[in-house]
Order: sequence, then C-alpha cells, then structure tokens
Amino acid sequence: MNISLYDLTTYTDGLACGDSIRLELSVENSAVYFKFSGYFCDTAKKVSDYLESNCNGLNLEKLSVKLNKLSEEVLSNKDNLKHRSCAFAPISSLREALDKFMTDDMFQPGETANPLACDACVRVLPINWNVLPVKPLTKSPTRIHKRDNDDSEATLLRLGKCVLSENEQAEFAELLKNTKDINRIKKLRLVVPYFNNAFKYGIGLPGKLKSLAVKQIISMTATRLEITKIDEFITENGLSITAVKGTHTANLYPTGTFRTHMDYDYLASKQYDAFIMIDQLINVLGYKFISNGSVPYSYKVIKDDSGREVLTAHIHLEKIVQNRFQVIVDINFGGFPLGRTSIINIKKGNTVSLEEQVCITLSHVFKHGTVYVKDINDLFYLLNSRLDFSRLSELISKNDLDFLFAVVLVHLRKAYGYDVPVKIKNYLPLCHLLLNWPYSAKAQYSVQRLDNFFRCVKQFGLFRGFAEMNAQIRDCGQIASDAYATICPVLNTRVYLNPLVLFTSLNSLSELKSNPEYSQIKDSELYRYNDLLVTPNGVFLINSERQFSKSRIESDVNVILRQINAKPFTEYLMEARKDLWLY
Amino acid sequence: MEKIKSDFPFFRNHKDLVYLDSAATTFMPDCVIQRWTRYHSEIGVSTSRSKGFLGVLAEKELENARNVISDFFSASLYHTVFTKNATESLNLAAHTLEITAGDVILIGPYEHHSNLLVWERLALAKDAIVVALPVVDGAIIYDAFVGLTSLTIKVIAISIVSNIMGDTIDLRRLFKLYKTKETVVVLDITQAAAHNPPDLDAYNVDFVAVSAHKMYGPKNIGACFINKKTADTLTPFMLGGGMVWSATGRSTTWATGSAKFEAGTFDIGLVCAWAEACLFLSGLNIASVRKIENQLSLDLLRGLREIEHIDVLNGDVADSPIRIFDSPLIHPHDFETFLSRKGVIIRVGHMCSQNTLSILGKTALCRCSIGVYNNSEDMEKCLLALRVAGRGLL
Repeated sequence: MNISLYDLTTYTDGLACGDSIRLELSVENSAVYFKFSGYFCDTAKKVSDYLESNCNGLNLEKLSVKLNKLSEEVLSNKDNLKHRSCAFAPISSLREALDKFMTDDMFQPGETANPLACDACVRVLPINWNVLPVKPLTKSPTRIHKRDNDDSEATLLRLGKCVLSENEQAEFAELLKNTKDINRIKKLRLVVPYFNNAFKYGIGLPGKLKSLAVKQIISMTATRLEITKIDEFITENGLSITAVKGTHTANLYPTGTFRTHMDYDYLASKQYDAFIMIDQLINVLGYKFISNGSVPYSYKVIKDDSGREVLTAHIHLEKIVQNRFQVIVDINFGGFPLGRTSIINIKKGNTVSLEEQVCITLSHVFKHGTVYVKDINDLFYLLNSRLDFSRLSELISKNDLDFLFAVVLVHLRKAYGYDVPVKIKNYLPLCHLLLNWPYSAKAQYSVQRLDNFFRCVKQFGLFRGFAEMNAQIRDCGQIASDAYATICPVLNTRVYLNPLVLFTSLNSLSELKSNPEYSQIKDSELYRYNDLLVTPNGVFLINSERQFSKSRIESDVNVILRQINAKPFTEYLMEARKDLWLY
Repeated sequence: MEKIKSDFPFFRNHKDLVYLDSAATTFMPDCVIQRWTRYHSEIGVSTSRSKGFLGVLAEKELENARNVISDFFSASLYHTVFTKNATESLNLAAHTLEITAGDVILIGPYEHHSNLLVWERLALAKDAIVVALPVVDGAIIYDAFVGLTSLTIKVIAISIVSNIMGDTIDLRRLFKLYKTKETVVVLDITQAAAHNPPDLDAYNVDFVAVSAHKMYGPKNIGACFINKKTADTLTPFMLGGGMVWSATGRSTTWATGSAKFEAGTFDIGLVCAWAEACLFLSGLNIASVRKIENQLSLDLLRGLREIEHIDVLNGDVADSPIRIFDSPLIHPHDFETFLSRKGVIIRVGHMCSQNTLSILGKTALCRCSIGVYNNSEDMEKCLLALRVAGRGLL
C-alpha cells in the first residue's frame, strides 16, 4: 500500500541510537498489512525489511506467534549485543501497534456542543472503513433546553469581566478563597481573565489557578515565534492572508494583563494563497493535521450579503514546540464564519482594520454554546481603542450584525458601565428579554436562534428561511447549492474531509482540467474524483458517516497520483496531544 | 599534545586508537589514578567517623582536596558539596528548592536530559512550568519572555555549554533580562570544566553542577557548589549519616556547610583524585590547551565540510571543541560501527538530549569531541575514515 489508508500509524522515537520508526498498519479480513518507514540504522532496516517481506498478510494470531518467536531469537542472541536493541525496535514497534489496534475506540462521528454552535470546531470524524463497526450518532437538538448554566456558573463567568465593581471585587476575592472547582473555571476559559483581575485588583490567586494561567501565558509567548515565521512568510510572499481575533486583541490589553489564545486564526481572501500557506506550514515548517482532535479540513457553501454563493473552508494544523507547547493554526478562506449561515465580508489584502476586528470578535462571541467572557472583554478593549465609529456602524449594518451588537451593547452598558457611540437598529427591547445573557447557555442559544432566523429569512424569504433555520438546528441545511454542489451539495452544511495523501510541494492540477472524470469546483483549483477531493496540497476523502471501501479509495488515489505525477507524502498526521491542552 | 597523550595509560594500551568522545567522558592520566591508589593504600577510611589518626588524615586529605577543587573553579562563595556526578548535583538542587504553583523554570534550549527531566518532574509535582529559551534559525532568542511583567522567573537552570551544540550561553545577558532577587540560578558547567572552567565567584549564582569524569578525573564523583548564602535556607536532599548534628531531640538539627548535603559514606580517594585532575589541568595551562583544542576543532570542521556526504550542524555556533554532523546517506549508528572498526571512537545517537535534536529536526547524529590527548593525526584519521565510509554510496 503506497498511500496512507492505514487504520493506525505509530511512531517510535528516541531509541538510544536515534532510530525513529514510523509504522503504518492496516487490517483487512483479519489479515494484517504494515509498512515501516522513518530513519533507522542498517540493523533495524534489515529487521524491518524481513518483517515486511515475511509477515505481511498474516492473520493476527499467526503474526503474534511469529513476533514472539522473533523477539526471543533477537533477545537471546549473544553475538551482537550492541545492535540487539536496534534489531528489536521494529519488532516491538509492530507488537505495540497491534496492541493499540486491538484496544482503539470504535468509529464515532463528531458532534457539536449545541445545535447552532460552530460546526468547524468538532472532533475529527474518522473514516469509516468497512472493517469497523458503526456507532450511530444520536443528535438531541432539544437538550440545550434541559440544561442551562447554573447560578454558580453564571457567577464564575461574571467575575471574569475585565471591569469589576467594588462589590464584585469583594465577591471575586471571596470566590478565590473558597473555590474548589478549578476544572470548571478552566473549561469556561476564565483562568487568564481571573489572573488579570487578581493582578489588576491586587487579590491573591490560588496556586492551581495561577499555575494554569502562567502555563497559558508562557505557552503563548513561547509559540509566538512560530507565528512570527508564518507572518514573515505571508509578508515576503505578498499573500492576501491576515491574522484575525486573539492575535490582534492581545495587544490591546493593559500591561501586566494578558489575552491568551491557543490558536492563531488566519483569513485568506484568495483561495490559492491559503494553499500556498498550507504548503509552507506542512512541508517547510513541520505542521501536521491531527487525528483524534479537531477536524482537519472542511468546506461549506454560504451565501454572502449579495446573495452569491461562496465556498468557505476551515483548515486546522498543529505543531508541538519544546515538546510542551501546542501551536494551533486555523486557516479560513471564503470569509470568516458568522453564525451557521453567513460570513463576514472584509476587504481583500493582508491587513484587517480594527473595525473589521470588532465584527469578527462580535461574531465570535456567538460562536459557541457558552459565551466566553474573554471575548466580551476583547470587545470592551476593542471598543475602547481608536476606532472609526462611523466606519464601524457601516460594517455592523453591512454584515447584519445589528442584533448581535445590540445584545452585547446592552450587556456592556449594564455590566461594564460602557456606552458606544454607534448607531444600531432598535433591537434594544428584544435584548432586554434575553435575561441572563451572557451567563446563560439558554440565552445564548436564543440569541443564536434569533440571529439565525433573521439571517435565514433575509436570505431565503420568510417560509423557506424559517424552514432553513429549523433545518440548521438539526445540523443539516435543506437548500441545494447551485454553484458548488460538486463539493457541498447543500448550502450552510459543512462537509468534512480527511487527508489521505499530501504532496511534497504545491502541485499544479492543470492536467485535470480537461479530464472529464474530474469535476472542477467552480472558481477554484479543486477537483472532485469520486469520493475524493484533489487540492493543490493533496488528496482528501470527502467524509461522511457512510462506509468506504479501502481498496476502492486506494485505487482512486493511485489514479490521481499517476494523473498529476505528484510526489506523495504521508507523514502529515499526528495524534492530538491532549496532555498539552490548556483549555 | 603528544607528550600529554603519553601521560594517559589508556593511550599507552591503545596506541592507535583515536578517541573523540571526551564530551561523554575522559580518561585519567597516571597522576590521577595514582592519587586514588595512594589514598586507598595509605589511608582508606572515610571521614567524620573517627578522631583517630586515620580519621584525622582522611579529614585533612578531604579538606585539602575540597580546597583545590574549589580554587580551580574560583568558588570561595560556595560550599563544595560532593555528589556522585553532575546529574546528582542537579537533582540535589531541584529537590532542595522551594517551588510553588505557577513558578516559571527557565532552561536553556539545548539541555542535556539531566538538566531537563529533573525540572520537568519538579514542575509536574509542584504545578510549576518549565520553558526553554527558544531558537529561531539557529539563534537563541534570549528576550523571548521579556515583558511578562506580572510573572516571575523562579529558577534559571542552564548549561553554560551544550553537550551537542558546543556553544556557550551568554549568561550575563540572560541574567540581565531575567534574574531578580527571587530568582534561583542553577548552572551546569560540565562541558566547560575541562576547556574553559568558569569563575564561579564572578557569577555568584546559587547552585553549580559539575562531574569529575569530564575533566580527566574519576567517575562517580562530582560536586554541587552551593552558594553559602543560599545553603542555610535549604532543606537537605539526602538524609542519613554525617549530615545531621542531632537526631535525638524533638526536631532534627542538620549539620552546617557542605556536610549538610553529604549524607552517607563516600570515597575520599575519588575526591583526592579529582583534585589531582584539577592540578593536572592547571599544570597544562588551560588557556594554551583551549587554544590547541580549538585549532583541532577548526581543522576538523574544515575537513568535515570538505566531505561531500556530510552535513555539519554546528559549524557557526560552537566555541567549544565539539563538532556534530550527519549524512543523508549513512545512519549515525552505521557511521559509529564503521569508524569503530577503523579505530576511531565517536559518539552517535541523541546524546541524552532529544530536545536538542528535535530543534535540529533530527533523531540521531554524530559527534566528535576533543580532549587534551587529541592531536592533528587523530583529526586526519577520523576524516579519512569518514571519507571512506561514504565511498560507493555517492
């Protein structure tokens, strides 16, 4: 097998001689197939070659017996003690992979936190090869109504505001003295807002919280240099890509306080520039897609404010530095997602204005099932910076953000004592009905539903819009895409992709243009071939919960590789390092 | 250097062998071996156990040796605490420090596992955080963590010379950027000891770790220099005989000075032998040794660069006689095997610093490191063997 259609990939690093063994393993009809690659010495190479030649295709039982026998032979060989560990390494690597394969989880599709929460930030959907049993996904769109944030959670969130009244400061000090629920504070992303408030108001922070905050701050500082390399590449190559969200708002925080963000978001206004950046990240800077973590690649078609269909994408790459810190880079193109059905329109180029950042941050406040107070703090600092408020009003209106902005504004007035000189449509009475926003998940969901309703109605008219809104709650749109049906058959419904083969460099796909077996995606360098999407970076499986035949997919990938004469590269994937997750 | 080579019994027994792994361990000259033998032939006992004439002699020998070693490193501000090696010294430092949740432990980018794992475990236990100075395009970014005003760097633990890169850390710059009154500084001077021993009083840090066997002394002995100002505030790491003043009252009273940290019986002969190694190095004139070693290192670098199938990885940064390289054609382990058959000993693998190899984007590499017994002929033999190793592969 030349391509990465393996069920399992393992890495064995750090043997004393420095061997680094990569093993790909696949099981079909009880027969085990595997391939070694990596960097190893002559002894290890000979043993791995022997295993590949003599053990491929054996069933699990026979392979296990054979490996035990080989292990004994190697370990009892007294003639070559020096190279014994090298000889043993491929054997133990294969044994460990088999053990891992036998104990891995079943196929389990991804799921979002609430029906209208961000559909890009979901767990990766593994490919359902026909060898694995399917555990069906049960969606319960109404569960949000059954559970809301309790009062104590609302209090925790409230005390993360960057402006606390005197009473709240006393409440905060009391909370820090007695709090035991560190995990909940962590989950609500309040650790650094609490660190900031402790610093700002001179209140002692419990050790555990301080530790978590310092870890986030140090992690962000240590990884910033990696981001500098990316930014330099963007500038040197004149790419129309800009950093958005945390990268910018972090600069607005007062000295001694921090705005941590674990991921770096980029928005490409030209699709091809995104491919150039992905190539640089993977082939030069060592970033990888993630297994068992966030979904690596997805597409979605959304209508923009002029009613034109736009193909958007979200690509998630990661790198680990110092074996301690996770650098996450998210690349979007087509526009920055605004709810489930819209995108924010920003001007092309490699800079984003502060006013555009406000719009992006505003949409981000409503991205998840829970409102993270850090996002509201971001808005507070953004709105306190040197903004052109008339330009901001225009953008708010252009992106139909009036309602969301009004919701935030009511809160900022009430909780932060801040008013903003921006004209907005009069949604204020409606906002006052949203009791407990932003500290209630129910209220957040209500805002998302209402916003989604307004947007759907504007885009599709009252009846179709209402139907689409309901469809969105069930996590699947119902309006067919006209322009991009080849990749995304349904509007507002995200399509997830799994990488199969990456190219060692950016590849021209012009050969495919005239080939009738390939369908070119409109206005793009993307081609569909059966269940596969060919991009200038590699070949991806257009995934779904249905089963795929491994041999069929393998055959299709090989057809594509021959057609475009690309150099395949399969070391693009790494297991999610959950031990390094700071949220 | 030929005269020096003859002082080493190892090389008299292996006349044609080229040994280029002095960064891992060095051999002992006659005087060092004889010093150990003499101690055990004439005295043999340990200290603090007897006031008889043997005990007094042992005490005298130990204190003389301690003074010689302390003088060699200009360490009058420190207690010279004997340990098994630098690794134990670093463990001693880490286990005696008061670390609390959220403290930041700053380490160098190219630390040996001995100055990495101990801090990582401590950080895990105490909820502190370890962070290394980052490297961008081969340059250490010293000021990466400047500006984090509400954070304190509690510990700076750093090797002044990397066992892989052979570069020297700019300590003065580092201290200027991060050292506050609360910062505890732990230095690992192991790789500098035989080539460029630092003036420890000038640094005036809290802990310094060193091993004797990297500087022509015996194995199984090293020291942790603990600043006298710091020592009194520390709780001892190892408990047992010799380090306690009173263990019968309600609370235990620790011994003072070095004794507080030297639990149990150790081999005074090793300390004497190490002191002899210090005298041996001083007698050679360290400055001229350094000059010769650096010249050999440059010759080696020049030769390595001329070999088509070899990539030198620390050509521009090393200021210590260490050269690292690899080849797209030959795995380091196979280089080692081949060179060993040709009578050239080099070091390969990750050299107990996978973190450093990760920065270099490698999992294994080759290292040649030079000692006082090496000469131009050794470099030529090594280069010739490396050239031959690539024949037929190009």
